Amino acid sequence: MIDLVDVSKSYGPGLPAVNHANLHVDKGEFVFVVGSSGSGKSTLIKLLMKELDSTNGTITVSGERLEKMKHRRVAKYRRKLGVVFQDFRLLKDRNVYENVAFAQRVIGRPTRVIRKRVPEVLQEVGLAGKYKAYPDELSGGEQQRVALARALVNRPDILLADEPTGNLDPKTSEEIMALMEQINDRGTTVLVVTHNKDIVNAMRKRVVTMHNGKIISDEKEGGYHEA
Amino acid sequence: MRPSTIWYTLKQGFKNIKRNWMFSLACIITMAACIFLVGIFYSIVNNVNSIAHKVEEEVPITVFFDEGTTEEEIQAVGAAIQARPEVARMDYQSADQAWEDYKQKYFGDEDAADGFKDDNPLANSSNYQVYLNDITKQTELVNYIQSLDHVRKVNQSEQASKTLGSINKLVSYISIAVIGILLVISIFLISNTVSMGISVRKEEIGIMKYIGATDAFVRLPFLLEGIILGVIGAAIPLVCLFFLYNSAVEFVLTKFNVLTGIVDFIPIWQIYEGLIPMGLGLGVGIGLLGSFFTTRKHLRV
Repeated sequence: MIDLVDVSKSYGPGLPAVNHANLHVDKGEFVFVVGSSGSGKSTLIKLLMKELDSTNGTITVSGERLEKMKHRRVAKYRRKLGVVFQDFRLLKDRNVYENVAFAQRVIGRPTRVIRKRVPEVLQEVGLAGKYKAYPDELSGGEQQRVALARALVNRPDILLADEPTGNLDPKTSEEIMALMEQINDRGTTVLVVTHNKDIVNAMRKRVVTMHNGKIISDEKEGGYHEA
Repeated sequence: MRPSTIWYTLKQGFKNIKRNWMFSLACIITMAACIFLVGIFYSIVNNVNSIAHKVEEEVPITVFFDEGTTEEEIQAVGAAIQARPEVARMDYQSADQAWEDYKQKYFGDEDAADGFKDDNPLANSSNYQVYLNDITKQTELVNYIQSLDHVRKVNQSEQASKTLGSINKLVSYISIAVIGILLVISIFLISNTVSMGISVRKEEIGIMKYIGATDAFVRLPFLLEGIILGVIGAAIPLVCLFFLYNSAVEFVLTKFNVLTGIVDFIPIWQIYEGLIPMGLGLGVGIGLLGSFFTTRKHLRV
């Protein structure tokens, strides 16, 4: 599903942000990518989203080679991914329903399909009663649920999450991670970049640790180790 | 594109304008001010050109013929002159007519000219009065006519031709320069305003791109917004100029009575034949280009 072979990314002279990384993630896996600030984990997510281009190596996601991908193809590729960010990145002038529906409009789904699918996915993330609320009227946890609903509404193959619990309290973080586990149980590959030790240690999933741009460990049912 | 997507794009275009009404207003005012200035200048230039052109047409050159040239030969020369593209119109004056006019002008109804009776002193004065549509081509035409058979003499006013030609050139250069400067200023002001409005929405564009929106999907509402702002920004000065022009013409003609009959202002509809497409083209073009280039900057994510 995700294949990184000898991938490096440099922003300029000096140590590369990602340094000769090799990673293989199978379909349906749940993977944590951990490491201290500046270890290269966020750059890794950006490479997978094709927000950045690698300076070396090959990246293959769902059978698509990212380094060869033309700009006009990127939009279609991103529709295979669901993405969740630390700062939620919701459209502030649109309510919950419109934020989630937007992901469907982008791929040209007809309105009748959107009307059916959006309430379904809001139900899944536990926000069925708040579809009229605007982002500013929601708590951090609720906003992250909206972001999750938006990421899932198009039934993506892969869910990428960049510090999804970074702005949340421990209890809400647990709820969000439980939701992600449910999503994974339904067959979606989940890759979560985080430095939340408690969650990583509690969930006992595969843990990939990065340090100075290198992948220094890759453990099945691993825990959070400081480099 | 699906009908729902088209409907969505339209709605978003109008929503963008409403949501960023301050920016929209700034854009419309800037555009309206620039198009208003272009419109004023366009009207002035057109009127100056039209007046100069009318004066040009009133300065004829006169063609005289060799002694003994027959009517047929004169007509053949006339046809050759008429065929030239720079000739606007020409009048033929026979020798008899020339003498009649002369008598009328200098002797009036007195009998002083009766002594000449059947002996026309202007017997060789059959002539063509040739009026040009472009006075700068006068010398060229005179050279051509002089090369024709049976032509004895060509009278021209070189001074008038040179002066009018220079005025025409000067007006054209100034108008091109001023309209050019105004265009550059308006494009600069509008692209600044548009980029300010779009940088506010940079985050929004980024989110759209992260969830798989194509460049076209993100851009279309902005382009539509640019077009709408352009149309409004052009319509306001065009409506204002319509009323202002008529009032200005009325004011000039009442204030400077002496100009009545001498200076004919171009009717407003004739000005608007050029000004409406130009104003709308400018408004829509600037709105469209401004939105296109400023969104492009933010689409590379």
